[in-house]
Amino acid sequence: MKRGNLYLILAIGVTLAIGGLLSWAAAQQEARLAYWERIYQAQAIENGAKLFEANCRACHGVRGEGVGELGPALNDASFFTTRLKEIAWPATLADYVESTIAQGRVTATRPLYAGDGRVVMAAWAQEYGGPLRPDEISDLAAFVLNWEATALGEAQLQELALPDLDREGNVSAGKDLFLSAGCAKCHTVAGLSEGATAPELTHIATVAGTRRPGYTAEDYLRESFLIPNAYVVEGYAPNQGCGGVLSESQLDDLIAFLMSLK
Amino acid sequence: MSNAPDHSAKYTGWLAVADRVARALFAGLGVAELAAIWRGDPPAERPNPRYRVHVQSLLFHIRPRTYPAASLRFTHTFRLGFLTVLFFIIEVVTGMMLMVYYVPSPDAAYESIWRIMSAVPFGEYVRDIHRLAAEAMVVTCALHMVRVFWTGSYKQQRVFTWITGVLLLILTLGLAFSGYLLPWDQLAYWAVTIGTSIAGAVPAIGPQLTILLRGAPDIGLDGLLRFYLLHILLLPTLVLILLSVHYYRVARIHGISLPAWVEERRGLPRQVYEQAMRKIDFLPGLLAHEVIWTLVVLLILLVAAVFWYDAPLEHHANPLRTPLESQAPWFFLWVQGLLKLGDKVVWGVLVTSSILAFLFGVPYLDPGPRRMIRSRLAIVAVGALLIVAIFVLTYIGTPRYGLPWQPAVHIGQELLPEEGKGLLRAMPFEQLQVGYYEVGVTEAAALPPELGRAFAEYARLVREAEAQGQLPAVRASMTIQDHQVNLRRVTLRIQWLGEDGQRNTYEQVAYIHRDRSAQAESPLETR
Repeated sequence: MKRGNLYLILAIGVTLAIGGLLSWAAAQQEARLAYWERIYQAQAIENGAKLFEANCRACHGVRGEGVGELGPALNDASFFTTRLKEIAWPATLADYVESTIAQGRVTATRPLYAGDGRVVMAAWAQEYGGPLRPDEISDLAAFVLNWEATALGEAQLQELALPDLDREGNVSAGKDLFLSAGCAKCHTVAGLSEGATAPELTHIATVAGTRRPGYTAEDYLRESFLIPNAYVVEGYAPNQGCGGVLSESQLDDLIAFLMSLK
Repeated sequence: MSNAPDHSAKYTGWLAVADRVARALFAGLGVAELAAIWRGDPPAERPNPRYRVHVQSLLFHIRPRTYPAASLRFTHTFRLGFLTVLFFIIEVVTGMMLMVYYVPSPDAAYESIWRIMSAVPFGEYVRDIHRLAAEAMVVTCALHMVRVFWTGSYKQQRVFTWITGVLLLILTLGLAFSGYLLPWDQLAYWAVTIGTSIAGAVPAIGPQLTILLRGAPDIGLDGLLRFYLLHILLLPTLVLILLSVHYYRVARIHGISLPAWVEERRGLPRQVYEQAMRKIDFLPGLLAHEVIWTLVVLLILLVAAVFWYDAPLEHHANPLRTPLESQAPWFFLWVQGLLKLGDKVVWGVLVTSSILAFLFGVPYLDPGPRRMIRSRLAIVAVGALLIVAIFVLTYIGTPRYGLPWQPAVHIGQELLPEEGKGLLRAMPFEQLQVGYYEVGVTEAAALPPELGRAFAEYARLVREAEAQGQLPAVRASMTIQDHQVNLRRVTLRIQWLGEDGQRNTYEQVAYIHRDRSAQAESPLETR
């Protein structure tokens, strides 16, 4: 075959192949764009979950169930159905979540979480002095909004009862902390410490669950650390507060220790 | 033009019109000439209109009218220079498409890349091709230099052309490197952080140089803008200027080099020599050859982008979180390898600048006129050694080499790497069965098949590390929890006895969404 003809056949063949491939790809485009959009959303939710675990769970609960008066639940139906009406928010829930995370709250939006001039929720955006970048805030919002299906009862999550990992280690670390962090000066634990200015803790694991209606013992203890005067036992002076100087894991250790005082 | 004989006169009616239109469109080639080209006949007019095109058309005047046959042998040039320019043109075109959507700011860059992927039709493919052609350009550019070096085509008149070529290689690396940062993901951010930190090793001005590149001690808004402007403005402009000089010299001053055995024609039969030196016209054969190459390269790139290649895009850049495996771009891995060998100044700066000096110095180190390899064994040996060294150093530069890491971390990375799929993301979402599984307690066979395989691999890695004494008295578990709709939380927990008798715990947590598991492409399950 003459070289010219070979070139001609090749050129026509390759051009047709390119044209065919582009037409085929054009027909796939809509599905392809949707595919990347889903991946993007999925990545945002995963990132948001990590950020929530690192920054939000101390006040809003590990699964967004809320912690006492610290932070409202984000995984219940009212958050998705009535919250915007309560506060007359004119835009979408996504806007509400993003702007709340970014700017924080000086006053609370519901009576239970009454603001008294203190900052109720800190601003989290770097723009307002917080630690989070804009993309992290929208990731967090994507994660929070993903509770909608379970909150509205449209989906059920599988529960997993976890074996009690490492409780002993935490209890002994908590015990050390109890003695070294100053708790022992005011609180009495029979056989361990003596103090008169604060309630006795010898059986606190049993007592804690009875103090405030609707509170589990652990919730009550955690709240007592973080908002010491949310509840003051009769006959004792309001507390100066000590939870603020503890790290999250120290707090876990101390609560584990107190929960062992049955 | 007015002096040219009026060949149109022999036509009348619509043929005359067609002839005039053809001459206007094809720089003087009339209907009869185009027909002759089509048939493969010799030129139909005198003077040869196929040469006249080279005078009258801007695009063709750049190209030589004829080439000696031997200089066009495929095994002599491998078309590497042509391919490098072709890739550069593809980069310019795809780059301009990407510029329409890209926003050079740390707050918006990453989002804008996702927008190109998820909201711009064909945007994903434009990005893939831009990335692929960029890496191909680095490869062909480097190979082109190896070819020129190997054939000794850097002597006499070609000395200055070689120098511009080395500069073009540096610019090509600069273009590839500056483009690396723009997606603003973890890969980009840390590769460029490492890359620019090499500049910090330069004595006396190192810190200033790093600041000049990064715009601040760390890469941020200023650094991104700097790299963006380098990438789209300064470096392409310099490439255009140097490429013009480079090609002007090839086309007008000395031509593509002849193979050394032709040029030095000792004992070559006259007939063979004349055959090697016979002139090949640019039009039409060579032009057709180049068009075919262009089409084939485009097809290959397109097939790769559509069926095989996805340009990487990791998580958003996070200056506070160094990835476990951060490495320089592959074409700079050899520099990272050098830095692992020892002192930054000696290995990083002295060695790299002597390699550069060697490249610039090649025509001066080997100044004689003889081009056959046997006449310049010394320099060819040094060059070959350098190529081997670059490959070895590239291997040393990878994280696999010389960076011991904790076995527990390593096991965690196998199952749940920071970026990419890993064992647990590679299975369908349903197989991530909720539960608590412990190595040595849970039977892998009792799990869904793919989870079972991943768990067995986990157990194997744990046992292997235990057997090697890296994780004494190890206790390892995997917990999968349902966290939200379509979202599961996976916790890997490895505990072992440390040297001080304390129990160490390594815990790695990852959230896996249904759409980022192996099922990503199937439609979303209804709630």
